[in-house]
Amino acid sequence: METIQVKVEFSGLSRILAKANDMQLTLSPQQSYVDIIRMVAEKYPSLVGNVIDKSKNSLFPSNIFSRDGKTVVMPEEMNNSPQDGEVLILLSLLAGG
Amino acid sequence: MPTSTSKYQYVDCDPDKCIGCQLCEYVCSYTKTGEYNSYRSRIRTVRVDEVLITAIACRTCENAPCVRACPQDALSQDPNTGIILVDASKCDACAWCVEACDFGAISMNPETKLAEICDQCEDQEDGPQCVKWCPKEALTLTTPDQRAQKSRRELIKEEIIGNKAAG
Amino acid sequence: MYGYHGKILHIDLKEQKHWVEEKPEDWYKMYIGGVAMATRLCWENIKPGCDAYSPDNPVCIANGIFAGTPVPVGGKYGLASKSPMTGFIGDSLSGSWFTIALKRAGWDGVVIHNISDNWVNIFIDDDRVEFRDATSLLGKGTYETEEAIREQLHDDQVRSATIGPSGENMVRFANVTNDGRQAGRTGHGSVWGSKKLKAVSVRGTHGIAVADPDVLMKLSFDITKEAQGPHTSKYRILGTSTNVLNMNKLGLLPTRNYSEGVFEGAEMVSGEYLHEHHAVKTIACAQCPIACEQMSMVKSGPYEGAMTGIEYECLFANGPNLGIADLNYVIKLISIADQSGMDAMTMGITISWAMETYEKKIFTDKDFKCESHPDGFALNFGNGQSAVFLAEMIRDREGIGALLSEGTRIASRTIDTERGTETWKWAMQSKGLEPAGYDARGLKTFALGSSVGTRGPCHNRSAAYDVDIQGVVDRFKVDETRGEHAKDSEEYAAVYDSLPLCKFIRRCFTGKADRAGAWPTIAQLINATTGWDFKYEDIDMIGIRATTIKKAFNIREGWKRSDDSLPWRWMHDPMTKGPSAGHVTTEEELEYMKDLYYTAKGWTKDGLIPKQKLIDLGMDDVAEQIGI
Repeated sequence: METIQVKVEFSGLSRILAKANDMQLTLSPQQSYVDIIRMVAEKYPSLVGNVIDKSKNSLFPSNIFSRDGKTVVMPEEMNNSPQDGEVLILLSLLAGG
Repeated sequence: MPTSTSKYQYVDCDPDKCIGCQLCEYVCSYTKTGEYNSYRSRIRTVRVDEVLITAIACRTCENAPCVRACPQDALSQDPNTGIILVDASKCDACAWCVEACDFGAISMNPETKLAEICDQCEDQEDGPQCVKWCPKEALTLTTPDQRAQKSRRELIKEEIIGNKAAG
Repeated sequence: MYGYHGKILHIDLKEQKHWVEEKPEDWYKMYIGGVAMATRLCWENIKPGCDAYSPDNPVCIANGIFAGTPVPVGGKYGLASKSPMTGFIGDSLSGSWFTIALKRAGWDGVVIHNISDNWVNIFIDDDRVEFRDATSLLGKGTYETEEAIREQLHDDQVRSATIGPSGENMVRFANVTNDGRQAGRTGHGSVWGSKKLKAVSVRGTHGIAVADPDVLMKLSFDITKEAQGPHTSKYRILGTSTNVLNMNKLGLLPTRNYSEGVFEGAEMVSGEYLHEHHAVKTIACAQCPIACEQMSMVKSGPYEGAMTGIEYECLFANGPNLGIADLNYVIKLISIADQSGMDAMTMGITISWAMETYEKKIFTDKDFKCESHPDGFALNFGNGQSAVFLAEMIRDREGIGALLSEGTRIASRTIDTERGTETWKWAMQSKGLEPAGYDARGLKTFALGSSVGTRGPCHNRSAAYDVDIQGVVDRFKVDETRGEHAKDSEEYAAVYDSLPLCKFIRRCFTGKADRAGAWPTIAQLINATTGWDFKYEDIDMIGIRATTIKKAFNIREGWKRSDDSLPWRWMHDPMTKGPSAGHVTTEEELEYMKDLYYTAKGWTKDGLIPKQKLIDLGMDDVAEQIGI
């Protein structure tokens, strides 16, 4: 079966809570960003409630997936599938100080 | 230093958890006077060198020195709780109790001319309001024995289990 | 009146007298507090057109509506004067105990006029004002001064806003510090220095009452508990320095004087690294249940013991922006700034300008000669040791430090005039103020927000980077929505800045940080404090009036459309590395976006304000003076 590779990079709060820098995922082409969130939540339950929403279907408010630092996976895109080789940076956004 | 007994409770602050927000002071003064005023709080924060912060309230000393020092016999100590009671009809704000207290836990109200001491919110259903409000759970109503137990438990977690996890 | 005392304290430093101005409740309903009220006081009390260092530039302090109550994060005050850096409004916010002491002393605001003959420490003791000789305090650092005053007055409850040696020396970008927090940017410290005002101390012994304490206590308790949860985890655990890697991954981390947006050493100066290797304790401002101030320390080496609170903005400016990948230098640099009372952001960006000028061989070693280095020293990017020497020279205005203490605009213009160079092209400033830690070449809406900002390019006042980073808009392109976005985010930020409430609480009301999620609770808090009947629209109005009075002030001081601009680099010099490489905001794009913004605000094409608009806002006197 064809599979695609996606890497999720942890930054800031997600990194501290997961105690890891990143996670490699192997997906089937039909799987979506929502599935990615669920897979991350499975492996790193410490992220649930802080970075990942309790439902494990979406990210906690003010957290985003940034594709390669360039574009953001918007809420309406969450059911889409990522491209092979995509790097998703899990960012916790905040106002600076 | 006065002795303390293992049976009296007092409001204790953990300096590692205390962030110096002073919400305890506003809440205490509000509970007692209906206004927010650190001067009217029975629990007082203290901050030294930016990072050393804690809060102090009456320690319910056994055979309390403040009671012994009062020339008017205006102070008495509840034998069951250790809480210090101020008899408003006798207190003349001479402040000898303030001198006698090694913890700085007594203040004088310049308007009512009375000594003010933490009474653990005896009249509140949910107990000491500062403990209820403290955002970091730095405040607890505890006895000296319970406090020592807590220190021993935390020590073991840090030094023994902590080391095992690291090594 | 609840929430206010109805009184502004006026102090004349030369005549050594004081008087009370009573303000009606309607005035407070319009300006509330913080930045809006401080600006309004400045509008009322300044002599238009005056020099920022003249006797006619007032120091205006505005309290907060929630100060001294348990409303979380409400312990903030606003400080405004005409800025000696921009010539426009210099409005700043600070927080903590000083605010609350002032409220308990019975004052909604303080206006300080004129210039003192001798160095003075004002002491506001409830309703008594004392002019204390400050000679014994001169040369003391900011925190040191506070402690010295407490000792002199034998009272821990005395809180002081102070200037350090930098302010005394008239470093143009010196700031005012209280309780370890800064009223930063725009140069308040040098304004106070010009007035020989070393410190303002307050003791307040009265209680603060509110209109509906039951409602206020319930709301405050709930928000306090909510503030311990996931909506603030990133602030509590890492603090704002978590932005270093965030920005690096987006290619927006200002590196080597904003030449690039990715820094190869970012991991070593990240919030995560800071947390693991340098953290001492996380502390809070007064009245704050979140606690985000990461006190960090240099634990070994020549700067061992240097400790201060580290925020993202000071970190980027003195770390990646200087090409420095070692937090020991960064902490030391920031602690020099904090102890001596100068703006760590401007200091870092001025040093980075000097570093680039050195790398381009316009400056040589000899330019940096001083007593400890008679032959000068090398000032290449990444040279932490030299950066520390230079920071001290700036603090003391020694050698070239005197020129650099003027900030990037004056320093670059002076050098270009003297040497026929074009260093102004890499002087990162707009309106005379240096920007923040978000490279606007990758944030088009923020580029607009930075250019039109009344105090200069400020992320805190604009907040327009939000829509860019969240992906609500394409951050690399320009479109017709940007004017509305920049206006909305600016007015949103202005609400928080004019209550004031710290923006970090914004998700703790209902879980949603947008207006619908925050305004209803804010209205409840205001009404429970004052007994007013504020509704959703009234909260919107706070932000509109705040931004309007600031703009009006600038117009009266001679602002023109061409002042709304961007640093040359952001318009002509694209980054070459990282996700945000290849972009600039062109002249055409900027003018187009400015048109959109002015239209969205209801202003003229020249960015001026129609008379009727001001009258509709209840600002009749402003309409008369500068309305079109």
